[in-house]
Amino acid sequence: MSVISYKMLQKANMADIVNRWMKDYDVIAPVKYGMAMEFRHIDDPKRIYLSDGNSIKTPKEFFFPQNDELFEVRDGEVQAPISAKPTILLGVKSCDVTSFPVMDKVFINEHYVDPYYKVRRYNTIVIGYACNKPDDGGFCTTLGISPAHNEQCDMFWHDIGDAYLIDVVTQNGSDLADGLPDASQEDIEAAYNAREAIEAMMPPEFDLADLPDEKTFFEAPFWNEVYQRCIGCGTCTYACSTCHCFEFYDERTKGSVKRYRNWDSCMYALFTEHASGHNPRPTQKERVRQRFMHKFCYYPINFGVVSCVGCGRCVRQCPTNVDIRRIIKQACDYGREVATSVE
Amino acid sequence: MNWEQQQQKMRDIASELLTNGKVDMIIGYEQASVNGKAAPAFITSPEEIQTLVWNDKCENMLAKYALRYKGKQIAIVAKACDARAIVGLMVEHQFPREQIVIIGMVCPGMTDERGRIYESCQVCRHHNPPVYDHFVGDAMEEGEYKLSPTMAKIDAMTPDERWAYFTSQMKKCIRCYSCRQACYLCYCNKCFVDRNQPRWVARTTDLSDNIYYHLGRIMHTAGRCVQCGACERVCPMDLKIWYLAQKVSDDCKELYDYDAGLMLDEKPALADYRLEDSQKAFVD
Repeated sequence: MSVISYKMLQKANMADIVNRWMKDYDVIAPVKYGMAMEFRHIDDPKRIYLSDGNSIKTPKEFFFPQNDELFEVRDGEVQAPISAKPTILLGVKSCDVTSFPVMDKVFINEHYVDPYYKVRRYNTIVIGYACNKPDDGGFCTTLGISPAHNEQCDMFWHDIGDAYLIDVVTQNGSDLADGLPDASQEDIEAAYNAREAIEAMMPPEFDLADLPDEKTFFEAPFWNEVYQRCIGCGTCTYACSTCHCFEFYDERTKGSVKRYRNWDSCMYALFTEHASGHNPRPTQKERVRQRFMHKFCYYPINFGVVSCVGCGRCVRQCPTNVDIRRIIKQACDYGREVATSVE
Repeated sequence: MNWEQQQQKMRDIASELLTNGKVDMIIGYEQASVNGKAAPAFITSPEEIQTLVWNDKCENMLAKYALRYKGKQIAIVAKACDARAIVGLMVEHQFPREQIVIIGMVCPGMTDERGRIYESCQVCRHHNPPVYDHFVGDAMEEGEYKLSPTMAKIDAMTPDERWAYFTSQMKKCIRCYSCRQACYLCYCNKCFVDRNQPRWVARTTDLSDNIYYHLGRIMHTAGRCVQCGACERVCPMDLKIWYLAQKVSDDCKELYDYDAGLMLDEKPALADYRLEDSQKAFVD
């Protein structure tokens, strides 16, 4: 993406600039959480922890919270506050940055606009952050995303030792970077050499062009095996940066009813259980197949993009090592095999 | 016998079972693709036997899968806790003894990605599978009761500190239910948290809802739990919850002198009544 300008920010000055932003914005950034990190609302910029690797949970929850209170009915009056404070989401890795426009296709499209999602999304400035060392399990490059990919955000930071090199991508980004010195040509080159080095460390693992068509994909024999180890916990879907399925839930207290939109998961039997007791996805096989078909077949059919950004959270967090890379590679191999046998 | 020797013997047994058609499937472990871990493996042909591994990363609770293959002849590579879990499920009439070949592995304990032995394994008393068809390894001495580091910490706390610690863990829960799904005891046809006509437990991650879920689940495992620690190991948010399982199991041990999963002909503590049961077990 075209870059408006390149700026420099000394690491020692980061707290100052974030403090300045905090006068007008809510700042959300990674903080240390055990051995990993977590996105949190920041009250003290010194707690911001920018590092390699990825957060356990995705920042999607700031646009699409796990429990989203949609409205409250109190004494017969409906109250539905749809508003959001101007927010800066700082330190988002390229994969997660790319996940936002993928999610936008569901929540902000020509047929339906979700006001809750939209108001948060449009009030948020996204600052991306380059991965210098990808996590085990990440495979963004396979899906055409670079670990230092400055698209779809307002600013993008590269760690170059004592300072951050900043790609200013949008006007919002430019306003925030006001007053920062320009970067030297050397520093820009250093950051882009680092980008090439990390891309080279992550060669593509499969080619999506090999995926079989919907019917072949659905009926492929490998589904009979890949689901076996799945215990049906929702970890992969809750950790996923693009999973967006939800359910509604009403909570009644004295004098008030609140309606929530909660994350749901296709890994649960209850997800598709009908009131009659019939379940069209009766075993874990159908549920596992649905998750991967949705991401790599139905989503492309509906929206033109795969619903996966290769962040690798599901690969790392799955307690039984259901590895999306292995499954999609198997699907690609099967697609090629079928295509060859037809010829 | 070291890990490798155990692995070889386990593979030989598995190979013999499959080749002679004694079982349809071996459930064991294979190398995982990340974190240096092992992952569950489902082997149906003798050619795949070489993928089976046995090492200190074989932490998954395999008894859970036995519930899925009811009616099939299967063999399970069972650590002592898996074997006890299988026994527990047989005691609860989930499948008959003849249906499962237990390849019992003597287990000194499993370790995490950084090589630290899991807390549940540190205090494990039963390293030898109590019931088995094949015994793989040199029998280890059964351990004495040990207080886990977390339990020791909790014991030293005031009630307010305990509440603070407990809620600090409960707040982190994202209600993905991986603890329930990993637990071999959680096989209810309809879990209480999935009941929605009417709804029993709210689906938000509100602290009180999280507490209700965890305490409800743990109390349901009292007197049945073998303290394998799978619930805590699978948690993506690293909640400390295993100490709750340990506490209810310790209470059953104290009140009824009962250890789950050791004997095929003994009912679970809370499913049985004896005149000599401790009065402490009754609410006055």
